[in-house]
Amino acid sequence: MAIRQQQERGAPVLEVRDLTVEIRTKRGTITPVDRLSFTLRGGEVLGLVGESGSGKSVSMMALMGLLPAGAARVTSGTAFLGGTDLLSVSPKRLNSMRGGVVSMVFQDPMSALNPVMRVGDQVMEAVRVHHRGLGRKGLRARAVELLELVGITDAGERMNAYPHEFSGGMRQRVMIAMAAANEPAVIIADEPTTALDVTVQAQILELLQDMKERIGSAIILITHDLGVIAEIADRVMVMYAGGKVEEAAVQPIFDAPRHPYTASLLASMPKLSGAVTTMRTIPGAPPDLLALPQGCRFNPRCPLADGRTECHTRAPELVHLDGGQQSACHFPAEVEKAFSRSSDQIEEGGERA
Amino acid sequence: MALFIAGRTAQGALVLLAVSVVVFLLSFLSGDPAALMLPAEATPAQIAEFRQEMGFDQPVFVQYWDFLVGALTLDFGVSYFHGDDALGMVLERTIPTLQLTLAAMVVALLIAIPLATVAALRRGSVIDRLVGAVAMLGQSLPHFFVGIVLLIVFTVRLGWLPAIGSPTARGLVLPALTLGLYATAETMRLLRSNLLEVLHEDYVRTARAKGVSRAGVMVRHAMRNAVIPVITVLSLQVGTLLGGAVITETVFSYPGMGLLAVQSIANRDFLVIQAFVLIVAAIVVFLNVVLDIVYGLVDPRIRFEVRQS
Repeated sequence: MAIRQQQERGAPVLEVRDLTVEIRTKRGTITPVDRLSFTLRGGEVLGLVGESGSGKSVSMMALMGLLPAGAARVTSGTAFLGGTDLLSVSPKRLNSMRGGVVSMVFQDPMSALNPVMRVGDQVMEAVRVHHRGLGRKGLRARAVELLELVGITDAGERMNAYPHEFSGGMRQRVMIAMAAANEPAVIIADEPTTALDVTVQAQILELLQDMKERIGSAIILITHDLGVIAEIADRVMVMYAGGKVEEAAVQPIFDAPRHPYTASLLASMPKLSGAVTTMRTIPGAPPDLLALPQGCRFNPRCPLADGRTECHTRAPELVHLDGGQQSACHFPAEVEKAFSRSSDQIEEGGERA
Repeated sequence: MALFIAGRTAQGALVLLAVSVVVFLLSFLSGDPAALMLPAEATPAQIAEFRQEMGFDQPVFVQYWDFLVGALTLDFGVSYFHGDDALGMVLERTIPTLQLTLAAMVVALLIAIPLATVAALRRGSVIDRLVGAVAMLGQSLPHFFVGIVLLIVFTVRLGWLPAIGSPTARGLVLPALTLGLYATAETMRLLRSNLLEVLHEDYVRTARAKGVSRAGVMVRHAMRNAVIPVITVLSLQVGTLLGGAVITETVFSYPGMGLLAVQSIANRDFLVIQAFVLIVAAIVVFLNVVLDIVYGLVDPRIRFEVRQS
């Protein structure tokens, strides 16, 4: 119950320090997550953005203890959730925390539910493993309640259906019901809307927010859709090549990014206002984790790094700027000028193309 | 569900009809039945008389019709060699053969399920490699060889079990092991690879994220999905097992219908063979229908497809 007490708005719920994950591949060992630190506060939605391979999902899997056994392992770091370090706790204890105090919603609801198990049984299972004493009747009642809560009509009837009888959006609702089943302190949502129809995406985001209000969980939302961030996140953490490059509240990130990568991401968003122009892309490709550039990992793609030895020799440390903004750039003050962006970006961010 | 069962049953009936044609034609493949059945010194006149008596001079369609009507009324004629009712002789031997086949299947599942599970969970371990080796041996060794080796070890050397098979607990051990080895190997390999695949599925990760224990994940999520293809293979193996029973029964002199079939072939007692083939076909078709229904019970998506069509 210690976790519950810390859940008041603003108090740190999850504190991750120096999380490092290594994966052995045939070509060598890579570090998809490199000394990642962040704090999640009670009741907030922390957006986690970055390109594919930036370490977003891997870091969250590491917290959940769900990295594929054998190949990937956590080599250092701590992650305190309610006084327990998720990274060093015994597998048995971690199992009792998973789905209890920290739960997860996955990207593809089409494959995330067991195809040969009734939807109701899967929801009941999520409750049962954490409430051993509850009888079948109690479990059923709770499952129906949860399904109703996530907006499934005729929940009592639909308990007996199988996942293939549900649409993608409905399945994601079921996933959210299972994630919320035990009112966890933290819900990690790994691109919960990516696999869904655009029309359904907004409903699912709304539902996530609604569940957050109801049960008071803090949410980590992984996405590469900045529009989603603008819509529901309170704070944003931008990852690049396994590390955090910028962190700030939503407004400052959209108004005045302090890292060239964040600025590039924002600039590559299609705009609804103004003339139709060619979509801007970030030059180059995400770095090969086996051959990271010297100095700053973003330097081959960065407009600020041209001819600056500092960018090519020394990896920038995370610096704290005004208003709690953090940036891992040697020249955070120059970002704004280099990208000379308009300030109405946040509205555009709200309306995804 | 009733529609599903009715559909599968109708399909089974059609298969049996096709088999009856093949079985009937079989008797013509080995030459003039009248000449074959009578002793070598029979005169052409005697052969012609016998042919007329047995109806072999009738057009093929008429003969087939007679055969079909006979089969449907469970009248396959009288064994030329023994003078007994052909169907009765086969049926009498059917139960022991089914007992042997069932015992072989139970042996296969009892050995295969736990070993495949351990092999999948401890992938690359000594146990996994041992399971792989056993599976390869089991699939490559012929029944008669395995049977003889088991006889030499457990009967001749150790004297633990009888040499002659019989439908009793002791008499079934060696024949069931012999017959079940192939099915064990096949089931083991298939289940292991299915489990490995299923353990990487998203829904297994979901189950772990919910906090389900290792055993719970294995039983409720992985196993139930991994056995679906195994059921298909098992239904195909029923035929293989009954075919294998012919050889196994011969090795152990087991009083089943396989041994009867081998003896009848040697005696050219083809009415008994017709009855045998049709009974075996009926059993295989029946078990396939049953396994199809089981399949539908385990995998709801199959039921769904039927409902839609």
